[in-house]
Amino acid sequence: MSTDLTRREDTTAFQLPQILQARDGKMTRSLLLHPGEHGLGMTHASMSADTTTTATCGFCSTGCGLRLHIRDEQAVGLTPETHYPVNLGMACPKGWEALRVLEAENRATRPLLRDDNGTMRPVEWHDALETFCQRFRAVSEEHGPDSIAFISTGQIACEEMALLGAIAKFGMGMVHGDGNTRQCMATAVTAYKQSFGFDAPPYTYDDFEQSDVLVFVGANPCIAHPIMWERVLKNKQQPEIIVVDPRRTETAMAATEHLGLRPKSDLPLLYAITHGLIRRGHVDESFVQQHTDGFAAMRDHVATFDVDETARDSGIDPRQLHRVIDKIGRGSAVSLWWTMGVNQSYEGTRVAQAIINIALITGNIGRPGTGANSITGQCNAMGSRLWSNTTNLLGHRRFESAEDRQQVADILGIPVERIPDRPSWSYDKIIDGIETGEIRGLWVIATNPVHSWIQKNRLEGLLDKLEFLVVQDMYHDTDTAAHADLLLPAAGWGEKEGTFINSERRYGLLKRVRSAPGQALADFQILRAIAHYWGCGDLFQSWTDPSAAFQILKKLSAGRPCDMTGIDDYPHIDRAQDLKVRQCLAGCGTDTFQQSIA
Amino acid sequence: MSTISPSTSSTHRATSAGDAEFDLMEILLQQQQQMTAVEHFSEFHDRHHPTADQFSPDQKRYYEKLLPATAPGPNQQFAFHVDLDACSGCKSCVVACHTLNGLEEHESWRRVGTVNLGPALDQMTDSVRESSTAPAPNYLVLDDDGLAMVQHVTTACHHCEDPGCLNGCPVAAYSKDPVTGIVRHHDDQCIGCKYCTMMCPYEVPQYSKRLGIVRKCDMCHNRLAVGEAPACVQSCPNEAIKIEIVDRVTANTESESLARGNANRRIAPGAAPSSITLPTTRYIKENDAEGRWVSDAIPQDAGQDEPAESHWPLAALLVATQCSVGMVIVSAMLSLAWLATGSVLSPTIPLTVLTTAFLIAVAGLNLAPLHLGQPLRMWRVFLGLRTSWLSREAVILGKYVGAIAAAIGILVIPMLREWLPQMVTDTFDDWVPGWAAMALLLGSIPLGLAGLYSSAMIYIATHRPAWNFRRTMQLFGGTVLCTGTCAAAAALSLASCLSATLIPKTLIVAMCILSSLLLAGKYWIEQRLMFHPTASDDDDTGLIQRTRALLTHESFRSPIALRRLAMLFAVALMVGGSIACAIGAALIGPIVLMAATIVMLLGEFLERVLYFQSVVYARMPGVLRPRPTSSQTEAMGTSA
Repeated sequence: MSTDLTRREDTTAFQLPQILQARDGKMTRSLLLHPGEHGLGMTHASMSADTTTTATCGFCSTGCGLRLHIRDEQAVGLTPETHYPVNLGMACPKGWEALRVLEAENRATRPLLRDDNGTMRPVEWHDALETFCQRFRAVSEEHGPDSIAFISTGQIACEEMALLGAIAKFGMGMVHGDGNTRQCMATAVTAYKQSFGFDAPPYTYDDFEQSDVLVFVGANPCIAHPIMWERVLKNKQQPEIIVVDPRRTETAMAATEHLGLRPKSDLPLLYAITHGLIRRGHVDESFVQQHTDGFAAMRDHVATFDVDETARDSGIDPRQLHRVIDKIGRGSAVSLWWTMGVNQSYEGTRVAQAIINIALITGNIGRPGTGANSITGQCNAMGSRLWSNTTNLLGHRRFESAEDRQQVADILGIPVERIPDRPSWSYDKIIDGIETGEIRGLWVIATNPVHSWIQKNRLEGLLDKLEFLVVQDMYHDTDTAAHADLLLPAAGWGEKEGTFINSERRYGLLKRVRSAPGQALADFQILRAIAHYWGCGDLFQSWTDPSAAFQILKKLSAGRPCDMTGIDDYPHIDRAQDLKVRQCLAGCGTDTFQQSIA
Repeated sequence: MSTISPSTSSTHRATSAGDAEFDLMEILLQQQQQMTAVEHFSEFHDRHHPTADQFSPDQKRYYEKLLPATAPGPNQQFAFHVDLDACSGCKSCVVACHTLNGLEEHESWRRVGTVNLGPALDQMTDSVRESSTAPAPNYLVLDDDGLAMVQHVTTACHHCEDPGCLNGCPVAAYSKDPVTGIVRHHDDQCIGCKYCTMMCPYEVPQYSKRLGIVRKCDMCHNRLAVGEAPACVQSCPNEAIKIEIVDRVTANTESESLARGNANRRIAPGAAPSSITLPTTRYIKENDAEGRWVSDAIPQDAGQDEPAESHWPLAALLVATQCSVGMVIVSAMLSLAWLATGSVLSPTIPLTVLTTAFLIAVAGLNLAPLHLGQPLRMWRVFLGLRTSWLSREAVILGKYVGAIAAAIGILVIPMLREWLPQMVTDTFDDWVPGWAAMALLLGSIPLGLAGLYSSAMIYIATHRPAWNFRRTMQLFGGTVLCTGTCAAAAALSLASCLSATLIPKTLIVAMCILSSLLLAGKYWIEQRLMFHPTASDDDDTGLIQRTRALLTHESFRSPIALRRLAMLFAVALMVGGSIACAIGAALIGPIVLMAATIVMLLGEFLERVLYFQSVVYARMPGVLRPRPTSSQTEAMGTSA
């Protein structure tokens, strides 16, 4: 039933004849909307669809569902997915424009190889991959397998980053590889590992709606994660919103308490809050006793942070800090959220731990609306934490552990000696390694270090020092590609299949709804080809396509805190749209898998 | 070494043992181009939407509460209601408007600007912060703890009760829906004159070069007609925009005069007074009954004024028609004085003057349509006569040129008597009285003046302070006087060469001197208006001051210098021309004076381009823009 809101029975208006006033015509019709099928509502012709399908947005870690409008098998447009439990029918501008980036003029469409004159020239895939193998092999043979390394990413599908890590380390014999995720939330990962024994943010977006006190530290979700902020505004508990940020950001504007602290005073401030909570008796004694250890030592440590003094040192009115401590202490469901303002600081791990500790001592964890919650950035940063096979062995295992290595070898059906027994260098060590000459070949996948890594000039100089640099990217003209010896053109989001894990650990599906430009190939396909050309294809025979790889990942997750064996396959994720890996605190028992249908 | 077998069921091509590498890449490339989403996943999605309700929009569940339940009643209309506290500045509304309405690459009918509240950042020092005794920060706290604050403002068409766009449109390409109050633009009617972009105080209609027309927000009229929400309302994650029914203040004279009387009421910081067009959008901010977010906030783009469009065809039209009417007036006055002395006037003199006036006016009128995106639709220009000064200008100046053309015809026919058929001359003698030419000449003067008045009112009616009545009339009037006298002197000197009638040399010389003085006087006034702050300016908005500041922009340096050069050169030529006339150097005098006229017209044209380009007008808050690089600035300068 539709109601016409533009007509009233008692109104008839004089209108000039059309010959004098052209109210209809070609230009008017070019903007006309037609009733859209498939529940789309009034739709412009440019977006009219034969059918629709939903995919997870590839921009950020929020992981919104986007409804792709398919005409003649290709996506012609998109609208936010009404039914998707993450975004509830909304999207931020990046999501709305997700298909547009695929049409960029600077897409890489052919493999490019630097010739003797230093010019990048198009070559056939066959020649590109032969060169890839010859040159890396030459470096590896001369300087040892740990002289070639790879830089992975939070921007490709789980299946792809797993295959990348597996081929690089088990197939090509690399030891060192790290992801660009090192730059954003390595501190959060470390804090979680040290505090909980396993890494993953313990929350769902529903917690935004369930809390009665929300604390944002170094986070501006209004701008950085608009759809998460949408969920905060849907909170019906009239929550206290406490924002710890030196700037009066949009989020701070909407706060009930804004602690506009001096930069770099966050750690003492959080210690003072912890101290205040303990002194006022806001500690959940039974939770602390049953689920934590080391409380006394922490209490003694924070005791030196006097509330009034710390407040003054931080540039905050002590009365306000007392008020905030009370609000956190009295809240029945307090959630604490942080993002880059904490992650990217020189003592980020400790700040994150201080936040976690506040949640732990007040028992604000493991219940709806609570948690010490790191909001991640890249679309599959969470996937890289589990599956990139860089500094952790697949499925959050340890390279140093013989047992873990054996498990992985058994599951993948590869000889265990193919798995390195030492962990990888982290990103910064790999860069330093180029300087010392220990790293001589580098393979960069879906990331742009010259743009994102610190000390751009130094890095540019180092990249030129490499004997062989391969960049695998959607775009041929990234700052890093300018230094590459070989560029492999990759397909983008919407041109390939796979899964992402979002900030709340929900598996989301990518779908192939657009033809990749020219000879660009999905990273998964490029990797299969590389395995074949390297001569290690037989090790990865069962990785035939992303959905088969997903079944391998399931096996790798079995029995671990990240167990996802309850997911059948891609269609299952597509149907349910609400498949999450449940995060459990170490020691709290069941590693279960949650499923519900929106 | 084994090859990787093709994976998806749709690819059956087997790899041959002989050419494995080649085939592998071929297979991978083929697989890459196969779309799988429909095959694998669409069935489920289609099942979700059974045919029976396939037209029922899924999103309705979210936006239903953001729409009124019924159409507006009598004396009511729809309006945008914006909850500023909910707007986080994400700009989804901007992108959704663009996407869902199928607009062009950079086109969206919604924009988001940003304002800052509180002290400027550079004033914020530690001492300020330490001395603050911050009370509980709440939704709106202004400068009590020294931190600047930020507020985003989403804006689209305000569907004004008295829309400037509609009033200004010369061809009725706008209408205000009698039920909803939505101000709709009829794209197929639009001639692309861009006058609505000047008349709208909120920069709502946007011109598309590709289409040659403007387009604007229609509150998604098509969607409201089936009970769906406008794109921006549908897409806001925070439900900050909704449609509400408001009472029209124009419903009764009391409420209207109240709304019109308050020139300080604005809908947003930096925006034009709402008294001009009576916008209907309501911006709501909690705990801010006094509207301090409007009075105390500074738009992020405050002072980031950039040269506006040059509108050079319009500048040419203005200067040409002003010169034409001016010389007709001057010539008519002289002719009357001449006749009053009892002398006989050779028809060559009025003919030369009128022909020159005609040619100049026609040149201007023919350049003007270059300004239009859709000139073929211009014939409907009379439709706006009731409210549009542009429509009036076009119609009246058309009549003026017609009158002059007729007068020329009447003067010419007797001269051509020998070559014309008997019937024509007889009819002419029977029907056209002897005074007809003079009557038309005199009649063209009020027509011309009315046309010029309409021209000036086109810009005055925009309510842009830099184009106010006083400033505009001084500039436009000055051009009429100086160029009119100069052109008349040139035409008279030419006529005296061509005809037997001897025009006193002293008269020509006197006219040249007068014209030079008028030009110098006009230039002096112009300089004062453009560069020297004067107390008499009614500039409480500061916009005239900003116009003056903008004129110091480097892109104006050369037009300003050229304009001065043109002025000096024109005076020099007039001096030379009058000397030539005085010593009776045959055709040299008229030629030099004609050159003087052309140079003076060029100078006035440059002045008019500056008038257009330097205008700074009130606008809705924008966002901080990077300063244009010097090469961009140069490009802007040359485009003038």
